[in-house]
Amino acid sequence: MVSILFWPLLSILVLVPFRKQNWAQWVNLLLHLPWVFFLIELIKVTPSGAPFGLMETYGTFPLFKSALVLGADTLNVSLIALTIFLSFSLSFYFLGHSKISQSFLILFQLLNFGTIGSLLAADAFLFYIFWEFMLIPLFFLIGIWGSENRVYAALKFFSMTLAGSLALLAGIFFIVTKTEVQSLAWSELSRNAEMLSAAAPWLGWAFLLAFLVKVPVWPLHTWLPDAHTEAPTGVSVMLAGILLKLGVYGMLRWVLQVFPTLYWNSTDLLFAASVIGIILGSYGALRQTDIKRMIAYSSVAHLGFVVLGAISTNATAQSGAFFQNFAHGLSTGLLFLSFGMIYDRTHSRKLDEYGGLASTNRFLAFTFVFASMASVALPGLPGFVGEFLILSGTFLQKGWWVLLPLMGVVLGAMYTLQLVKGLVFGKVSPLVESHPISLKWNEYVSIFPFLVGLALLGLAPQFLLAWINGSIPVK
Amino acid sequence: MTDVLNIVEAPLSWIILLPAAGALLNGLFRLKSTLNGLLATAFCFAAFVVSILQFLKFPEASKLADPGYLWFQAGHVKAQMGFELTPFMSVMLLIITGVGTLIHLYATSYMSHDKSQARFFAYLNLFVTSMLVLALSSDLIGVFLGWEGVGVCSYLLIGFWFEEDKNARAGIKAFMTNRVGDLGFLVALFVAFAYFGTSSVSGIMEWIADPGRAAALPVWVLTVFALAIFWAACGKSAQIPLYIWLPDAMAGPTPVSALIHAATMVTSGILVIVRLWPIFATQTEVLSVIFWVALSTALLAALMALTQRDLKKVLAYSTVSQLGFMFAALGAGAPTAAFFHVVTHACFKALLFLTAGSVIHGMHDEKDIFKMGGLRKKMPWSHVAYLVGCVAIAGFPFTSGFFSKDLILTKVFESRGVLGYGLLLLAAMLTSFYMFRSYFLTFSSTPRSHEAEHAHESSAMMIVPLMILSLLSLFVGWLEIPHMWGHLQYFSHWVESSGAKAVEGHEVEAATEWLLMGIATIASLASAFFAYVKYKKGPVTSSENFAWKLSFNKFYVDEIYDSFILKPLRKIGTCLSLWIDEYGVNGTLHGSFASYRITGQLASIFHTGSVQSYALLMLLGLLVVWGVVNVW
Repeated sequence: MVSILFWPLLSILVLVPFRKQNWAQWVNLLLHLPWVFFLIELIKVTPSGAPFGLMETYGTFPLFKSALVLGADTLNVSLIALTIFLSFSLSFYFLGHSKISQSFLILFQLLNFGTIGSLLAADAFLFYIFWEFMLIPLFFLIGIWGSENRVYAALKFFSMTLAGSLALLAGIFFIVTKTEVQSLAWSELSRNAEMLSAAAPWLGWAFLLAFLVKVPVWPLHTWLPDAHTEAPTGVSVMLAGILLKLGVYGMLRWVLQVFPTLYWNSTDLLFAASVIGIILGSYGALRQTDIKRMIAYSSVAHLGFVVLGAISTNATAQSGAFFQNFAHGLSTGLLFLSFGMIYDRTHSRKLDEYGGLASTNRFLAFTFVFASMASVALPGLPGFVGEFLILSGTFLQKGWWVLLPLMGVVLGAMYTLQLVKGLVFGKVSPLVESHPISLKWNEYVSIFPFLVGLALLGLAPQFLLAWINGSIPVK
Repeated sequence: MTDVLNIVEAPLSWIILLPAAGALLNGLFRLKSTLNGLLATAFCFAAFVVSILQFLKFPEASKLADPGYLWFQAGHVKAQMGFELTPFMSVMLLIITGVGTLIHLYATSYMSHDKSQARFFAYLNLFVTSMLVLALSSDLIGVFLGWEGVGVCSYLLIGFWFEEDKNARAGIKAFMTNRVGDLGFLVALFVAFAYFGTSSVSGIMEWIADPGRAAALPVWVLTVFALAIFWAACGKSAQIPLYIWLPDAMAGPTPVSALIHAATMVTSGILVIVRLWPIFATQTEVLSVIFWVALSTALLAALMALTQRDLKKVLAYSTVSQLGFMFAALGAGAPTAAFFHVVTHACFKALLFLTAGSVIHGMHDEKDIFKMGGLRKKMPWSHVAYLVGCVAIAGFPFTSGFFSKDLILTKVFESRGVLGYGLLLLAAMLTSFYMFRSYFLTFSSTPRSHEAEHAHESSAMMIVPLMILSLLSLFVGWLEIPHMWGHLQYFSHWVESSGAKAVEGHEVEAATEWLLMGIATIASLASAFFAYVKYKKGPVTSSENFAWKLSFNKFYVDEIYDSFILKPLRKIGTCLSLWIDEYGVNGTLHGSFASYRITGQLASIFHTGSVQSYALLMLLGLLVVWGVVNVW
């Protein structure tokens, strides 16, 4: 666990001497190989079933009643696998890319460090450190390497998530100073769940708020379209692919497992918020003229489905929510990645300037359509498994209320097909004609894992479902 | 039907994997000349051969099964990707792969000048794969995989010539309308898992057959389940109110119209209902709904077909109308009649579409029948094929359409009385009229355009499938003849031994049956003769009155949907989203920053790009944290 956590930091040290862009990109790629090895080792020892079934303590900070405790179960290790998968695929995309400098890669690895850290942390204070830490590299990645409106987007993202995180911090300080709990360790907190809830009714909300902003749950989502749109491709992929899921992870780990009463009391509110998010997020996507903004809004709708499953009381929807994390990570990640490759050549995100990609680059056109079909939850692709389980579980629990989120299934197809039609089909537009796209070998390699992953998770999802089954506590 | 089930294991997944392999190969490799088409045809033919081998295992076996594998399982949902084959579905299997092979062969020649042949045949093989999944899956959730799969292939093939905006839009319309229908399928699946605990067809049937367990269900469950499935069927099989996509779907290449939008995919709604018949048989109200929706569709679409000038549009509305006949049979409690018509329709409508394709090919892509005429001499083989198709669909005596349509009309008379029978008979008369209208306008008289004068007959590779389909259209009906003619009722046997028994109704006497048969025959012959009188000399343009306009403009249904449902929904949604996101949430946010100005000033710090300003910002953050600490 320690090795998988600190490997990105070590990678940064290795990257420091390689000032030449080309070298840094290759070294970054090679540094992923040991990381994958550590991941496999971790997967081997990760127990299935109990939350944080594997826990290791490395040191303590008595001042904050906290300790360097790392925990692993299938819930977080699967997300770590997703992180490494995305980062590894992207490292191929980075090769030879003119914008990807040494400092970009260092910040990127810092982001990975923060991500893995907040996934593994089994101590509230430690979790908070990593959680905040993620913001710093992200802030600079968007603010420096983003497109025209990057500074506005970076600030908006930073301030909104920071506001959420400060609530979390306040909650943690309250626990340290005003309650009787011995430590901030997850095990201690979850053991004293009732006492914490009794201490201050707002405590759970303080935790929840941080995660709701991150997911993001409507109406806290407005940072997302800006951040995703302005961010450089690699960061958009990571944002959509993994960082949003950390919000859901946080809800399940730090609210459901620590403040279960509050969690279950808030489900009606969250149900409403996620349904509104699904419907208005879809309409939000529908009215966009900017391709990345469209994809970004689709994430609001998709994450609405995930939250819908996460607040469900049955295992069906809970597993669906968790599976949907992967489905969305791959499909939306691939949408951002394949569009990023187009954007690298054309430097335009305006949908009406595109058209006829299918006539000029069949592979990218296929990839984009494939990812779109995954995004509209076509059976045979993983989005269906996730959405179906979520909606089935919702029907079981809430009956005909399921018809509301079900509308999202139709709306999702509407904006996605509109996007596909504008970009892939139609006559070849002047923009597409004047910027011929021929992909380099490394770009093919970076797309390939996504295609295989989507097909595999769509047709044979059971290995993942069976593995993560049981680590999600159900009411 | 024997009560002892003899379930035999069979390699059903192979039938599916063969065209899947074809799709993959065609997707990966662009071959020279027509090799892509031949490759696709070969894989489809291979699936046909395996299908025949499975078909021959009946009647020793009562059901073939292939357990497949566990697709996914979580909580109360267990989705098994397994396959099973009942006798009636094995007939459909032969249609899908057999007619499919003929259409692939035809398309090899038809598409031989297209630059994207490989893509076309990849889609076509993928369609066959999905259709087979739809037909063979043992679980409804697997059926849904095929159900949406054929929808996507349909979307891709309708928009195959994607350079034209119209085609891409028709594809989207098909996909979206089907999605709306698919909500019904999803609801049915939710109900199945929540109340039956399974989506396997045999599992659900066991549940229904057990009176104890069936009684424990809330009363609405079966009704809602049946209605939801019917809603889905309305989408896929183009019934009111979701039929609107099918006429537009004609934007795709003609072999696609023949295979997907006539012979196979559009009948899947009927196939699913026949598979689930024991549930529908108990739901008499649902059957009434089905009957009247179907009857209205059959009539409305027939009225629309009367005035169309585009040859493919005539056939498209005719398909909608004929699908209405099939659902009417279901609504009359007669699954055999419905399935019988599925099969005969697959033969003669595929024939008609392929012939239309041959005509359009010979006319250099001119589809307007007003500009045709006199093609009888230019395209003799196509002429014969089209005539056979018309005779069959109009139900002239002893053709396949005669037997199947007569069976439907008789069943409707038995269970729905004179009114239902009379209206459906009217639809049948209209069918005969508009089909012969298109026939006379296309083939008789003299050429009315330059293209028609220089029309040429198509290649042998296109004609051979036409001839085979002509023979089928003429003779396939002899597999189910009226009782009073003798004992040759294969379809009843196939359907009933698959577990779908007709709803008990009062059987009419033989004399009545003869009478009904006579009425239907005379009606159809008279309508054809009327069309001959009216159109033998060419188009009649004098009659463009109000009724004509209504029919020609398809009763303005598309426009009504657009202005009263689609546009308002879109407007409201996007406005809400705009107001709430941009003015509501973002406005509040910007307010909390005091103003845009401060944001701008803050932003300008970054433009300096200096390390100091970053450090300052971090310091600020730390200060905020300390501030929070000090509050407590």
